[in-house]
Amino acid sequence: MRSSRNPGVGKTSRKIRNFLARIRFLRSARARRLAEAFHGHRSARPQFPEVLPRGRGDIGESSGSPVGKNGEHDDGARVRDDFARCAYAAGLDDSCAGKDGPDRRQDWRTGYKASLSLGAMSHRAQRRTRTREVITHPGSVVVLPVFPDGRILMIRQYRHAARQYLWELVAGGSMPVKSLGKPPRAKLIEETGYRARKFRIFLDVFPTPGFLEERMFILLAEGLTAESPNPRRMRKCFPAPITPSN
Amino acid sequence: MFSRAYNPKQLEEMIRRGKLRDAKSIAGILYYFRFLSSEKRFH
Repeated sequence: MRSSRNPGVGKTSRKIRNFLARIRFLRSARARRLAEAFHGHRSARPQFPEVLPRGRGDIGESSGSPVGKNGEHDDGARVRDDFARCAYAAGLDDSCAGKDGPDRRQDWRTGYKASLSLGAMSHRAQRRTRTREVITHPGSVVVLPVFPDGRILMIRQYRHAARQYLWELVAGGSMPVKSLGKPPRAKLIEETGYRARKFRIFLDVFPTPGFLEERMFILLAEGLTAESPNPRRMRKCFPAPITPSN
Repeated sequence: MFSRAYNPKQLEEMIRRGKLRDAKSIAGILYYFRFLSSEKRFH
């Protein structure tokens, strides 16, 4: 019979309980996110690029470097952003970053493009905690391909969420820009049949910040050239001919 | 899926008439017209 009066038995059972709790923690999703966030392995959180000031984020072949042509960065803002991102990925309190943030989060459902999670937000100024449902999203990229004569390349495809065909720019959900030196060339070729020589981020927006974590980068693609038809790389698409429009 | 190139006037007309309903595309195109493209070049 276990008794609190017997220090040996109590200490052993506490050790076993602590050991089991540690095993449970190490096998949990939170521990995995923690390790991925801090060890830099393939992170569950998106690796967003360092967005340069507008007009300076050339990421085409002409730049060739993850740093912009002018090499200007706001290092303080980048470090704060990285800290908040790691803390958020690990489910930790990022109050040290100097702003309010989520204390903890729990994933409800993990999908291919997005996941639904429940996060407890603490507002230090108001000294209260609120629970928010957030759809986590790795981020997306939209490409605005511009021909030399000023025309813009659009695609038309069926969107199940809208239950109809839509005209839209080339976009890739769940396709984060890993670095500025790796623009979505393959996506553009796959969906339009055109290769762009130069990409530039000109807009960085949160499309639905109320409940969706998605961060969207809109890129300007210039220097378009028709790619030779390759059925392995291109989807079932019909490229637009390069002819002057009326 | 198929693609087509539109000139700025056609795109503005599509947005005005509600033919182009994708929000990210509308935002990107209008931003591009307003801040990045020169009017002399396209109009």
